[in-house]
Amino acid sequence: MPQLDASTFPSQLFWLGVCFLALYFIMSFLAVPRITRVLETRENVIDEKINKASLYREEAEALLADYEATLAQAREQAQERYKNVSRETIRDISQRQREFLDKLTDQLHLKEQDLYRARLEVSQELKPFAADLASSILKKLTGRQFKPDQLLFKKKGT
Amino acid sequence: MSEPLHQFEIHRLLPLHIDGIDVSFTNSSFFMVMAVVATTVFLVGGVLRPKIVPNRWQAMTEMTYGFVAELLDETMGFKGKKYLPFIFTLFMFILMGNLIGMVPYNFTFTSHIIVTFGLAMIAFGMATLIGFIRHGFHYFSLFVPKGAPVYMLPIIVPIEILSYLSRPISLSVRLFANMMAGHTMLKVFAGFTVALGIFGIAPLAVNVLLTAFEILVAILQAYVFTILTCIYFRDSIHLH
Repeated sequence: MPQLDASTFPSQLFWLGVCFLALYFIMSFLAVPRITRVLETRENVIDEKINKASLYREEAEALLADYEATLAQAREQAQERYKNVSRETIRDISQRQREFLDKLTDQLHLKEQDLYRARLEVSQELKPFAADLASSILKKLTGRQFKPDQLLFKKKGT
Repeated sequence: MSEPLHQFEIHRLLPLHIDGIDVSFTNSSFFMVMAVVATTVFLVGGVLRPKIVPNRWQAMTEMTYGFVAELLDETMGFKGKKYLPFIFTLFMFILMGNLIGMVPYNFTFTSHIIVTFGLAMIAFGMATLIGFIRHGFHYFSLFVPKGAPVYMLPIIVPIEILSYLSRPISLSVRLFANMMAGHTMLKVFAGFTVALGIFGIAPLAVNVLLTAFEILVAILQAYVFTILTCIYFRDSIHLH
């Protein structure tokens, strides 16, 4: 069994020591620091991206809140304006209605006066005819002659 | 039929003597160097041009690192972070040694008891060193289990010491036996395949399955060696 050949032991142990030591130094000064740096870099990059993402999300949320506030304000303003306009319009309409009604009443009065005057005139004009007619009716009935003016005055007297 | 144990023989590639001791560069040494090179290329190459979204190679490198880091975190907690290079070295060296050995005609240095014992002693020595550095002589309280009745201590303490000292042996024998048995079995079935001619298809099929199984064992044994070392480290850090 070659494993039990003690003459090879010093050489094997010597080279084992050399190789192990060499690999240990390569590990501790080259391989492990490099790999650690790579892993740390990745972790940093991921952390940075996560931070950035959360920052963006906060920004977006702030923007959304801003937008909602603006929207609410605009809606309130619109409602206010609508209320004002409708109130004004109603006031305007009622005022005009009143004015129109006043005008209408005035004109009605005027027309009534006109009518009254016209009736008076007509009745004034009708008086002689009525007197004539009355005198002729009386003459026919009584055979007496009445002057229309007499009749008129009598009538006025009674 | 070639000898199944032939694959474990060690050949000198470059004769070398230091102070009269034979430390020749052998095929075993060559594959140790290959394991170091392969590990370095795999780990450093993966993060040579790092990307935020990793490609396959970088993902493999990061997953391997993550696997060991998690292992460390689970067993030792945050105090174990500074031992990551050591544990990572241990894991990758054994893993690469096992996996490179799975390629036909390659030598598997983890199939030699002296190598696995050396690795186990490195791990065990490190654990003991950490224990003494962190706790001084108080580290010996590791051999006195909490809540044990005083009259039992004369029996328990020697048992604890014995089990502590047997750690490197169990660690090294486990890895060595697994690797040697697997490779020997592969070789035996390969020998059957050659000897049986056309009927060799049956042992060949077995060999295919065995190869897959041995790759599993290669990874598993590297993992077991590492996690046991982590547990020894935890004992040294937290004293039970």
